[in-house]
Formats: sequence, structure tokens, C-alpha cells
Amino acid sequence: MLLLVVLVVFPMLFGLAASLFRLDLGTFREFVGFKNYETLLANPATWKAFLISAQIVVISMTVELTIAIALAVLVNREMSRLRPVIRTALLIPMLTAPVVAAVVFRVMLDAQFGVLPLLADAQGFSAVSTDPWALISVALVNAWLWMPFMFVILLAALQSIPASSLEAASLDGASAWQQIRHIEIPQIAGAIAIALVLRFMDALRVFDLIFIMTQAGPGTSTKDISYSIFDLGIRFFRIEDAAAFSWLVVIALTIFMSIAFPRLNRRFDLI
Amino acid sequence: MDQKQTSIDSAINRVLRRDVSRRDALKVLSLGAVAAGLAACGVSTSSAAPPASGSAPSASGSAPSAASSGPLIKPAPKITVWSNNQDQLLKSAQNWATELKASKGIEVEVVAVDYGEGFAKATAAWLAGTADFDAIVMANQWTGEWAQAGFLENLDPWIASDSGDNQVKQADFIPRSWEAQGSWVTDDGQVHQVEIPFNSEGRLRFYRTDIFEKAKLEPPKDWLEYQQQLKFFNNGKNPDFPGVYGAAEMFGNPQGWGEFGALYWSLFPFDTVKTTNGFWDDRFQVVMDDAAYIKAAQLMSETLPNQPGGVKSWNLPEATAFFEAGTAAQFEIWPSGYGAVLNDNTKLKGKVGAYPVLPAEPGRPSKPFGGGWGLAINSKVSDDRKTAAWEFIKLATSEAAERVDFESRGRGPSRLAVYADSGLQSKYFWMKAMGEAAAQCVIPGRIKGMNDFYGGDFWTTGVTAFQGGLDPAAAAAQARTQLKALLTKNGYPQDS
Repeated sequence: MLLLVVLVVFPMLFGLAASLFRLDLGTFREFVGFKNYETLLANPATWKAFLISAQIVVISMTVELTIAIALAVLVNREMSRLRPVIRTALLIPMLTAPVVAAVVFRVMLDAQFGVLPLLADAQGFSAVSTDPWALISVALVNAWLWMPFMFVILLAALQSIPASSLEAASLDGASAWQQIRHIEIPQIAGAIAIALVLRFMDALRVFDLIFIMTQAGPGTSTKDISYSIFDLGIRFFRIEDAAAFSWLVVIALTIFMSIAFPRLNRRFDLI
Repeated sequence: MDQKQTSIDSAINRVLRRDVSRRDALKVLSLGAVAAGLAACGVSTSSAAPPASGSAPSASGSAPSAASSGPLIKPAPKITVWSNNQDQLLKSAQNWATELKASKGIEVEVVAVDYGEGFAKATAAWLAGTADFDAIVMANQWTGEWAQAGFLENLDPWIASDSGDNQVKQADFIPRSWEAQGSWVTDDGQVHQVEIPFNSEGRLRFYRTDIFEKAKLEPPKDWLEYQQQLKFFNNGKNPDFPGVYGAAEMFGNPQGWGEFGALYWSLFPFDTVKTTNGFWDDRFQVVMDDAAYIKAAQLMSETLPNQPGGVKSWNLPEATAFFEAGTAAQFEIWPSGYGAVLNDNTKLKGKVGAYPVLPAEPGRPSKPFGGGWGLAINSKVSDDRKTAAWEFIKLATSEAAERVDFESRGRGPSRLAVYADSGLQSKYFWMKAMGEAAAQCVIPGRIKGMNDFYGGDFWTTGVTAFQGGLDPAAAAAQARTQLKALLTKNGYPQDS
């Protein structure tokens, strides 16, 4: 309990207190109430950071979910013998350090020397320094890293569907697509919801990919909430602003989850 | 509600000043145990910290305890120096560490610190009381915060009482360098030296003489000529120069600001507005010229279609590599780092020339973006360590050291005599232009909060504008607001 207080509660409350003061190089100087929050909320850059994070989440999760479902169904139905090999191979991106992945993709996307512009016959085009491709690139690399996570969860869920259900549908003349649409996907909807919730929370925190791939650029077009907090707190040592921004994120997420999660829970009986 | 809030705020502020009555305490407690407890944290931290706040910086340390006895104290046998990890700084520091051991028996451990984390790392160490470095190679924009917080030793007494080898004399240095790296003005208007210049420079442009000669071109004199040259090379599609671009500039964040700043300053009416940086005057009131800002952003973004793909993310390594490969005819860069490349790269010998940064229009002055590094002593270490650190600083910033470092590593000299050396000028073609740039350059400013200025909201608005991501007029208005907010936040209230 004491450990919990020291490691979790105290830092949170310290952050909350810092957000209510004017600090001078980390030293508490003056109580300013909610002024730091007001300043942040009045700054268009704050809202833009939330928007960028939302865009990354939506693109990443859409791509991840689509590919993960397709692969999981394919592996479950057609490649049962190769399942262990494919499952292991697909886990490789997830086991790769995000920093390493970011460096590799940064080089692959380089306008002059990158293999991807070369293959696409688009030398001179830099995805990581062109708006909106920089944001899309970050989101896609994020999806590449974490799609296997969704795949593993969905494959496990698909494997738990009784074979008799599919056999009965088959005897009744249901096509493969009809079986997927009306039997398999509805039965794994709960697993999909759990995977989406977990990935949603994680995708919101993307930092390392942006730091390596785009440095939040071009301009500020990939400066999401994590990068903004890093900039404020670490680069400029504006601890009070970083703390206030962090609490804004916590508040926004709490509101969002308190609306979304009960609905998901009612629908899919998650917990 | 507002009145009640103001009352609570006021009460808490009295707690912070330790001027608290029982009634005040009750008001504070009414905010809840959490806030009150943490406010107490604030008190304890505050009491241990140097005095601050107010519009002007506090004393960066009254006369140091070593003021009178500094040079008489036996230097510590071993000290630690934090240095930026750029070759021209790190290798120079390492070299003079070895020399100091040989000449005075003082062992110096040089620790490399990346630019991106230097400010936060050192600040955190000071605040945590774990700043075990005795001297630090620091960027000029960090001076304000650190001097105001009392982290930097006031070097005035050390300079005044110094004698013997490698004596530090203000008159030997480029005035701009001495001021920027770094003197600091305290509350009472007194100017104190808290660093000794270790690297000084203004941005410079380099061009491939072989390409220019073949194309029968002269180095451009202003941005308009430059734009014409970019079009001449036609993005590598000029049949006489296949694959060669007119330029490969650093348009990325943070380096892109260098060219943007130079264009802005070349247009700024310095003759009518009393300011050193074109952003605020000597009362720290914003004097930004929106028309110049808009024009500079427009000129920059107009050239983007004639630059290699990806320049929006380019900083030093990318632009240098492109120029080195012979696929760009010219580019702008810091001459210190690039000088070392020119020294080492025999392939480019005789194929590169230098010329000043470009004004926005014909007849306007060249106003390069200036930068620089200084060497400072950590005020929190013991006197014997300060004495050893001072010996290191004197050696590393000496005229002899500047000559050796410039020739071997490209480190930008800060001394007038080194730049004026005709021998060096004839040996290194960029030396003269580098000296002029170092003397004429504009350093964005010396306020508390400069680290936030470099890379913060105001800065990134400029980057977004010259990268074409924001309408220049809207960017100018936004930047003005952000600059006012930055100054106000750091203790320089604005009139309106």
C-alpha cells in the first residue's frame, strides 16, 4: 500500500500541485490556481496536439484491426498447419523496439536514399517531411508494430469458436464470407472490443516513433500530446505547463472512457 | 467566486512567503489536504532555492566565496566537465583536458552530453543537488535561466584577480561574443560575466566553385538572385548539370530558423527601432516587424519547390551530406562544424568557396543568425574545484587553444586576434568571412526563457510558416501573441 502511494499517488498529486503553481526551473514560486490550464486551453497548439493524437489513433487502429481480422481469419481457416510459424513470424514487429523500427523506417522513407521512394519511383519525395504523409507514416509504422498484438488476440478468440457452429452453417449452405460475417466476427466481437480499448490507450501515447521519424514536423504536423508534454517538460523545463497538459489528457480520457466503456461493457460484457 | 478564489490565491502566496496567519492557514486547508501538503513542498523547495521572480534577473551570485581567495586556493586534483558532443567542442575539451593534466597535474574528465538533452539534464542535476560537474560547455540560450537561478559562478572576481598564463581579458574577445557567451545583467543593472566564450560564429554560406564556374555563375548577393539560381538548376533537370540542385538548405526544425531569421533581420528597420534582435527592445517590449516577418516567410517557402525532396526535415547532417555529394551547388551552415569537414575532406579541396548569408532584397544588409557556446563554472561546487575549473577554462579558451582548435577541429574562435591572423586567412578561405559573420551576426537575445524561445511556440510558428504550413500573415499575428506570452511568462510584462 505504501509502495502504491509512493510510486503512483504521490507523483500524480505532485503533478497536480505543480500544475497549479508558477514554477521557476522546477521550484515552486507562486500559486496561480487554474491559470496554467487556462493558458493551455487558449493555445491552439494544445487542441491541435489532441487532434493529431486522435488522427494517429484512428488511422493506426483502423489499419491494425482490418489487417488483424483478415489475417486471423485466414490463418484460422486456411493455414492451420502453418499457424505456429505464421504466429511467430507476425510477432517479430511487436518484439522490435519502437526506436529501432522508427530508425529503420526513417531510413527506408528517406527521400534520396530510401528504398520505399525508390520502389515507388518517387525519389525526392519524403513522406516523413511532407504534410499529411508524415502523420500517416507515423500511424502506419505504429500499426505495423502493433497489428500482431490484435492478431494474436483475435486468432485466440477465433480458435475458441466451436467447429460445430461453422459445420452447421456450412451444411445449411452458408458461404465462407457469410460464415465470417454472421458467425465468426459476431462471436469474437468481445475480443475485438478489448483489443481496441487496449490499443486505443496505447496508441494515444505514441512518442518514440515521432521523436525519431519526424521530430514532430514538418512544422508541428506530428506534434501529438505526448510530444507536446515532452517539449514542455523536458526541453523547456516548463514543469507546470507539462503537468497541466498531462492532467488535461487524464481528464479528457477519463471523460471519454466513462462514456465509451460502459456502453462497450453493456454490449460485449467485457468485465 | 472570483473574489473567493483571489482570496485563497493570496493566502497561499502568503504561505509561500512564510507570512501566514491562522486564518490564512484555514483558507489554505480549505483547498484540501493534498494542495496544502504540496504547497508545503513548494515552501521547502523554495526556501532552498536562490531568490527569483520579478522582471529582472536576480544576482547570479554575489561575489563568490573564492572571490578574494580563488586563485590562492589549491586546485582540486580532479574535476569533471560536461561538454556538448559536437566534435569541434567535445574533442577540443578533451584535448585541453589532456594538456591540463600534463601542465598542471589537474585531471579533467570530459563527459559528452547531447545538445537536445543538455539543458534539461544539467538543470535537473542542479535542482536535485547532484550536479557533479565543475565546468560546463553551455549554449548561449541557457545563460538566462541558469544565471538567474544562481547556478553559474560569477566570474568577475576570477577575471579581475587573475594573472599569469592565459589571462582572460575582455578586450581580446569579439564584443558580441563576450556579451552573448556570456554576460548577464542582474536586478540592480550590474553586468556580470558568467561564461567565457568557447565557440563563436554566425551562419555562412558555402558553394561549390567547380559547379559555379562551369555554370558561369557568381555567388548570389541577395535572395532574389538565389531564387534565380535555384531555377537555373531546375531541380536536377538542367541537362548540363544532371542531378544537381541549386541548393540544399536546412529547412527543418530547429536549423531552418537560421535562414528565416537572416531574411527577417535583413528587412528589419534596425536604424529606426532601438533593438538588438528585432524582437524586443531594451525594455523587453515586443517590437517585432510583421511586414518583415511575412516577407521572410514568403521568400523561404517560395523556394521549397526548388529544393531537394525532404528538406523540410533537414538539419545539419542531411544538408551537409547532400552538399558533400556534389548534388547541391550551395547551402548555408554553421562554419565551425563545417570547417572541420572541409579540413578533413581532401576530395573537396579547392572546390568550395564561402560567402555571406543572403539579405532578402538588393541593398539590404547581411544579418546572419548567430550562435555560440561558453564555458562556465558550477557555482555549487567547492572552491578548490572552482579553482581547477578556472584553470581549465583559461587554458581551453586561450588564444593558443583557439588557433589549434580552429585548425584541427574547426571550433569557432572568439578572439579578434585569431580572426585577424592573415596567415590563417590565407590558409583557410572561409576564415575572413567567418570572422565577419561572427562580428555582424544577430543573436536572438538574452533573456530568462531563451531556451523556450528556441523551439517553443513562437519558434515553431515560424517554422510552420516558412515550410508553407501556415499563412505568413496569420503566422505573424500568432507569433507576436506567442512572443508576448513568452516574455510575460518569464517576468517581462508587456505594456499592452
